[in-house]
Amino acid sequence: MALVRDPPVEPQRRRGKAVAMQGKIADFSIPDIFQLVSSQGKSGSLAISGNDRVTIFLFSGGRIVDVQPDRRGSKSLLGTMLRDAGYLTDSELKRYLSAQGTGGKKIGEILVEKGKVSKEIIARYLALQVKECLFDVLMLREGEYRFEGFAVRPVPWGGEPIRPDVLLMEGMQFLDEYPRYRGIFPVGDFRVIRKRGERVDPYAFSEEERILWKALDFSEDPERVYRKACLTGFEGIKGLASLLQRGLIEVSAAERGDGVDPARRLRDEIIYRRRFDAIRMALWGVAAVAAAVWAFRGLLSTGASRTFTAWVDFF
Amino acid sequence: MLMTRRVPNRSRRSWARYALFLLFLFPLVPSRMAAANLFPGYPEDVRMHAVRVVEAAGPGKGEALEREVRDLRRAMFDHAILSINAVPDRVFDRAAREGWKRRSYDSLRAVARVAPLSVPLWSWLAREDAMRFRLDEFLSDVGGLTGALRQYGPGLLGYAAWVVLFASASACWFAAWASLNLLLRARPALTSDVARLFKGLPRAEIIATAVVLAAFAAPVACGVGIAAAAVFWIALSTAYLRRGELLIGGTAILLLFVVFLCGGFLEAIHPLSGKVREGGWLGGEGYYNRAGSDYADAGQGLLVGQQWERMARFARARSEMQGGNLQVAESLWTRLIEEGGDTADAYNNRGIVRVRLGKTEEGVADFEAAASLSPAGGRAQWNAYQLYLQEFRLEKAARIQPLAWYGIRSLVPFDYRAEEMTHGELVASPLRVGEIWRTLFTVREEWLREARGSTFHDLFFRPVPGEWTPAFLAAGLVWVALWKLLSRKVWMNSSCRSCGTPTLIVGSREATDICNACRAQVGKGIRGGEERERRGLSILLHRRYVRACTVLFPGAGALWAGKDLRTLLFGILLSLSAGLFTVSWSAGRMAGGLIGDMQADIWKAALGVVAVLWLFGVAWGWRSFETLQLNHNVAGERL
Repeated sequence: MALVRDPPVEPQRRRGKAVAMQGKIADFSIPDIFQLVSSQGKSGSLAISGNDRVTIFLFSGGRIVDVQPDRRGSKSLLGTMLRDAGYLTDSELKRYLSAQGTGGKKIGEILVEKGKVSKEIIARYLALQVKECLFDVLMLREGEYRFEGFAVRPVPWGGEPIRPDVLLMEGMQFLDEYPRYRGIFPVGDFRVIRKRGERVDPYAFSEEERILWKALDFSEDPERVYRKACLTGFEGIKGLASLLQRGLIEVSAAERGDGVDPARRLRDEIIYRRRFDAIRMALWGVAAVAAAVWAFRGLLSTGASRTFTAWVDFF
Repeated sequence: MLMTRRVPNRSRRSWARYALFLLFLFPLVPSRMAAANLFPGYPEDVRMHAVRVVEAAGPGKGEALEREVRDLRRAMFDHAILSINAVPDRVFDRAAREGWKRRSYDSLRAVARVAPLSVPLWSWLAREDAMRFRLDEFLSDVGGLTGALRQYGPGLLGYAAWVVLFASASACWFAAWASLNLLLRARPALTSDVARLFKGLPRAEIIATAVVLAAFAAPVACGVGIAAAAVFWIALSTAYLRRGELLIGGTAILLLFVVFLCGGFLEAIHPLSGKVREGGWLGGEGYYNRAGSDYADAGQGLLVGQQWERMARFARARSEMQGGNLQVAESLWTRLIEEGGDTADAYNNRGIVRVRLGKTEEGVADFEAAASLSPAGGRAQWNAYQLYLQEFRLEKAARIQPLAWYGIRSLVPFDYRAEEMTHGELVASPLRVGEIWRTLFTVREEWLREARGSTFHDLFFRPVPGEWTPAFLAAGLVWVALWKLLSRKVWMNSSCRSCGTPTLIVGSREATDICNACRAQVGKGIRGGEERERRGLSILLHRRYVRACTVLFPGAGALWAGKDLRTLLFGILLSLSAGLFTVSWSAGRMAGGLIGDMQADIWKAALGVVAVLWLFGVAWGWRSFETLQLNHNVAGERL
């Protein structure tokens, strides 16, 4: 049994770029890679691929300054997170994304420039994005990594660089405890609401619980509640478990159809309401025209005119 | 074979000569031939002079026309005729036919002296004066119009009918406007409540919308009368209205009851209209009464009472007097004097009859008696003065001359000029009808009876049976009151006036017709995400709905903005204009002559006012609603 893992392969040139190191996750674990980059104060990008997805972490002086999740259906994209948290509407997100395509700017930069979302909120959600992406890659058992060294300058609208070792601590806790907390809740999708008539003292809550309690008013979907509270899934479910144990919330399994993307459901609902309202307006318009004709016949038709001309007969 | 050239039997040139001859001949012949039909019933000399007046009228013929008018006046005096209302009609017809209608002002003003009781003439002159900014003439013509209305019975009744029809048309427009506005105001909350009934069904909002739309469209589709449908719609929307809006609905129902009574009033007086030009007692002044007034004609049994009977006998005596039946006339006047009451006019007229019969002394005595009974009445003074002159009682004549001259000049609307009347013209007293105004409008039980089968009932209240119409209207009012009270105890939907959000409420509607979010001025919502989007959409759809209502039914926006009483005033103004348009448009289309000409201008003006008020109502309602939304921070962001 090999207790000592193989060292990473030697740096080599590939496509004109200097590749610091690369290898397989099975050979060199992700926490080790992060610790190595952090302890050596490296700058560059760490691409981790697995499960057909590639996540790229950007380091500056050994600290994580940004992350680029895989764009294929990831919920950890910054725009999607802000939309789910209610800071953007679906249409606004589409508009800003199209602006991003023409200007080459990042979505966070555009939002700060437009004053749509404050710099502080962007920083909070960027940190959340880094956390979530790290937790995701920690769960990988197979895949590859590749680190490329180059100078990385932190973006001015981003937050403070994050120490990977701190995140790794939380990540390890997440790997250990998440299954236990998740087991408290129904299998599959579920819904969570505040229990009616319960009096609570928000000051008795922990910080996370308080934020989560407020966010419960936002949606019944736990994923959206986490987004609103700016918590990772692990932090969120931990907080919900605590509230559930105190008897402050009610949990129920999601009904069929609840699995639809909430944004899509909202979009469909808006389209339906608009169409319905347009049809209703058209029908009422026709009815109003009919009423106008009816009023004309009642007061200005030939028969009515004869009645209203009766006074002429006296002269 | 040699053929001779064919010669036509009659050359084309000879046809042309005949045609030219006929062209010159025809304009001369018909005027004389038609003279007999222009003024039927009048004595031959009066008719002849009247035809001459009509022929003399025209632009630039002032002097000739004045001369003919004076001649006609003398002929009229001989037969105690005070007014020939057909003269201005004939002059106007000729002007319209010959294309000088717009230049007929001077001619018509001149013939006012022989048709002082023609209400259409005075109205037409007053309108022309107003259009030409002639203030003095305008005031004088309004005075003439007032005087004619007091002394020309058909004119008074026609004016009463016009007022009633105008009020009825306005009330119907108001009811239609108010009921539609109130229903559209209540529609969102009503739909939400109906949707509650179908809670268990999928897409309950579609079913509820269909039900409410059907409730709106059913009366229209079934051809229900305006009044019946208006009451139904007001009753449907009662529970969702504020107090001010309920006042609008209640006013509409009360006005519809007035319309119902107006129908009875019109039914009561309508039979009299046919008597105007055909010898009925109401035509005793202004049109020649051929058949002689009969007591049975008096109001067709509808306008009964001592006052009406006396008026009928007075009209009959006037008719006999004008027809030359002096003996009969004298006995009729004597009977009226014996009955007592206001006998000044009867004395005056009997005096004229007696003078015509050669009883000069008795005539003078009658004039003196009339003057003593009514010193302000200039006719008796004038007649006495004329007789004193004829009898060479110059001292007496000189003594009363100032009074006689002043009195004869101040007889509105009769334009008597003493300096012209030097041939012993005696001035008869007309039938006075001004005093019956109050009697005419005294509410009577027979109005209610007549209203049940009136034209108004068929037109506006179908299919409600006539007997049940008052009960139907009363039930509408009771329903409004009761349902309003009940809605304070039952949970019902209320639609926020600012953002359209439906809320279940109980209790006072005024306190809750603005939702909490709008009161807190939180715009599209304090939270983001789905709720924000839904609220944004709700605001957008609500704004679109209110704007559409405002454009279709002016003032609706102001109603949503909470300006109930101002909207009520606006509705009244709009309805009055629309009512004026209705009454004038019909007359402008159907009546000819002076009335048709005037009404054509009036309906155009009324339509203009309606259009202006409509645009004002749209702009005002739009702006009021915008302001409401701005005040509640709803309209800050374009959605």
